[in-house]
Amino acid sequence: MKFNFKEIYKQHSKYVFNVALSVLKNTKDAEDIMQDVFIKFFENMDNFRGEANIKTYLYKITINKSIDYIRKQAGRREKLVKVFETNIKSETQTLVLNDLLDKLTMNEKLPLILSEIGGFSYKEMAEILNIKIGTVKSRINRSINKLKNILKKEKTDEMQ
Amino acid sequence: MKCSEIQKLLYDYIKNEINYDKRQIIEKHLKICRRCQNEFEIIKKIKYAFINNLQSPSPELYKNIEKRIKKQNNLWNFNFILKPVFAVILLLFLFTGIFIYNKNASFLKKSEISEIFYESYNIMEIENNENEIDTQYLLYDQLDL
Repeated sequence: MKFNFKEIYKQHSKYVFNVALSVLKNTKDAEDIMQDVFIKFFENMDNFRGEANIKTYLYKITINKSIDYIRKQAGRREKLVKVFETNIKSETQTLVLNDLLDKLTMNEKLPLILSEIGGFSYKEMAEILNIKIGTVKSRINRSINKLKNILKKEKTDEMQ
Repeated sequence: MKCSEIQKLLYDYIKNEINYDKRQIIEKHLKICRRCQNEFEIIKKIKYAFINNLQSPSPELYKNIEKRIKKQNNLWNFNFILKPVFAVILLLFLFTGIFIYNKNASFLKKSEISEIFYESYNIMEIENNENEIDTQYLLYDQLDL
């Protein structure tokens, strides 16, 4: 099965970029990772049989490369360019996604990012992260509960 | 179903990863329970936070990727096509060089070796004659002739 690289890029680049951005919190780094991901995909493009495999592969590589990058960079430098500084106004509350994600551990963050940005099912996330479906569910529950508590606390602080 | 159970399922409900029966139960419950409605709204806010923060990568990135792929392809071509071609050309040069050298070397042997041989033979003969004369003179000296 032959795939059109440009079409695949058009279809997935935005989401691959945003997954990398959510993990790395730096536009330049996310762009670098995205380029590497698509070049690696191009090199292996002939080995894919279905569109679903491609999607899983792209996100798996993105997550792995982003985590590797963080490991390499850890302790070396402070992240200077913070993204996600746009405030999301929803009714009276202001949500800053970056601040919320910072409250989660990497294990809690990744399934949520994949679920919300990639729109993956539990099964697909388990495949990408190489963990059991039950683990994905419990990690997502944990992260949602954490975020809910943070938002509830913010709400009560605002009311006081 | 209790509120705590409903709240545990709310994210799955939004993700549409829940069976029809549970979906019906949740929908009915949400209509009457304020507390669960609030929980549901908070989860929706978290989802909106992700959706609203989606950014587009720079359009220049695709050009960069294309350039890198092109560069890589050129390298690939060099490695897999040009390298053997270069190797064959080099071998051809090498064999041609050896052939020419051998041809010249054999030409030299034919023309010059006989000449060298002839010259050295003459020299040897002259030296032998000189030696013979010397020994004759030595004999004459010894015999006082």
